[in-house]
Amino acid sequence: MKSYALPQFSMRFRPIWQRNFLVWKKLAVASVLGNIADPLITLIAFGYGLGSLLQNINGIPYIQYLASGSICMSIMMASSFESLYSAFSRMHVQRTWDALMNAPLALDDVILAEMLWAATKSLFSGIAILSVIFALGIGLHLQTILVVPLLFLIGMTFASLGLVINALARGYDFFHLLFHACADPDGFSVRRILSNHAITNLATGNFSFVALERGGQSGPSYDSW
Amino acid sequence: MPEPTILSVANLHKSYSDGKSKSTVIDDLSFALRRGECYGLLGPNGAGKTTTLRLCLGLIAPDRGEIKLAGKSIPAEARPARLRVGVVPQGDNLDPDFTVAENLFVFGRYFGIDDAEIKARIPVLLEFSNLTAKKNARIAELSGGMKRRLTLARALINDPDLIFMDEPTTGLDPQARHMIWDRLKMLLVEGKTILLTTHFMDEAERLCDRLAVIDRGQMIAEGSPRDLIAKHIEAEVVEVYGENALAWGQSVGRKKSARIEISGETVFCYTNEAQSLLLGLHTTPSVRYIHRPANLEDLFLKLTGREIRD
Repeated sequence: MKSYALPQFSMRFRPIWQRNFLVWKKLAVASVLGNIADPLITLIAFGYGLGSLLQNINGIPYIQYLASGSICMSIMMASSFESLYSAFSRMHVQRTWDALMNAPLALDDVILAEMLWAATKSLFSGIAILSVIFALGIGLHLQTILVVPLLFLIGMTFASLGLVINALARGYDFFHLLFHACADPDGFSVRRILSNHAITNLATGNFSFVALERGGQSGPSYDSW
Repeated sequence: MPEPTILSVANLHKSYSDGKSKSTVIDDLSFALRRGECYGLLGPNGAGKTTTLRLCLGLIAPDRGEIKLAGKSIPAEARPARLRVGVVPQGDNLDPDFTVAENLFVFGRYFGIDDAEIKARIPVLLEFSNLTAKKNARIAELSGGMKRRLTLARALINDPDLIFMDEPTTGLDPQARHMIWDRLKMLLVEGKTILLTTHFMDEAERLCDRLAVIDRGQMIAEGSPRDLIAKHIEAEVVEVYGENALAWGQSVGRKKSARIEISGETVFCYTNEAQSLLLGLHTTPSVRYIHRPANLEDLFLKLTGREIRD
């Protein structure tokens, strides 16, 4: 057994992902309601409230600017939370990972399943907000649906970062520090950074949340995607 | 025809280093399990029992040595080898998010078993572990004994050939312990092989066909419980306690026994002929005594010493 080796992925992640999905399903109603209520309140309170004073930002209507940021923020939080707090619980507190390792599964299977599950949570959360956005008539553009795979990919990215930190963490306090020092103090600035054209264009190969922000009218073309 | 040996361990070494000092946990350990037997690993706390199990399961890699589990080389082929193995770990790691039946169902999926097949096995396992009435209960609602039985049922979901049991009855009351013993005997009758670690000597004596006493990662003795007792210690023990016990032990006990051990205020006299000791004790004031045949605990204490291990 080498200490360092490239991961070996297989379909064995499936039963672990299914395990997490089954747990989620038990609390699905509360989870979905939370996923919908949070953006709904944000968009109505800030979007229509503050938005009535602040017409647009860099030419983008404020409500669309806020909506795209809400998606970014929520998928980041969903997969980070899942890959930090929840995965840590499964590893250390519930010792679910120990039980998994007694079955014919490898650590690579467990890690891949955790990454995909955290990304799935991002997807759920992103889709919930997109539904709210559609329902409120903020971004009624068919192209917006194209961001769905991207939600998953960004979820995977934050899940990977989360699991790296998880491997180093000694307790939940470690995550408090990370969340409160880095992510949480100014959620709006995170939204702003994440929905910044330059960064998202760079990070996502020219296809970005600009599709939502600009309603696909004057944003970059999708040809390069 | 399957191989007669289901697990073999040869010249196993494992040590941990924290940069400054190196501590040897397993030191040249060798043993083999025959199919259908119950083999016990006995040792005081920190002797290396759990580490041995983790090495055999391929969860940690040895520094040196060879392990063969179900015909596969460990740790290189540990994952496929674990298809044929069930594990009852020392601490409970049942899934608190699920009910009793769901725990079995979800665990069965980890072995790649079809959902329909798992569903067919669940009632049988619940019956075996006497948990049918609790199938929809949450884990938090179960007693310690029920949790252990569920962990045992979970370890059987893949119909394993070999079951690793790491201190399966620690923390259980006598009733729960007897129930686990009954189930283990049933498994042995079915032809399963069991590797059991324990520090309950009566458990080892009841269940194990053969056992190994290990201490500081080394094997000190190996054999059937009866043979080990006969080989290493005297046949009878007289435990003497009471106000006058220590003085009696030094003056009379030492002369009339093959050897004595003193622990606290009790004198343990080991002898092959207890009659002369007992005659004298009848008339000695301020002492009380118990006369019994030597057991595995006497052997264990002789081999590993009486000092406390943390």
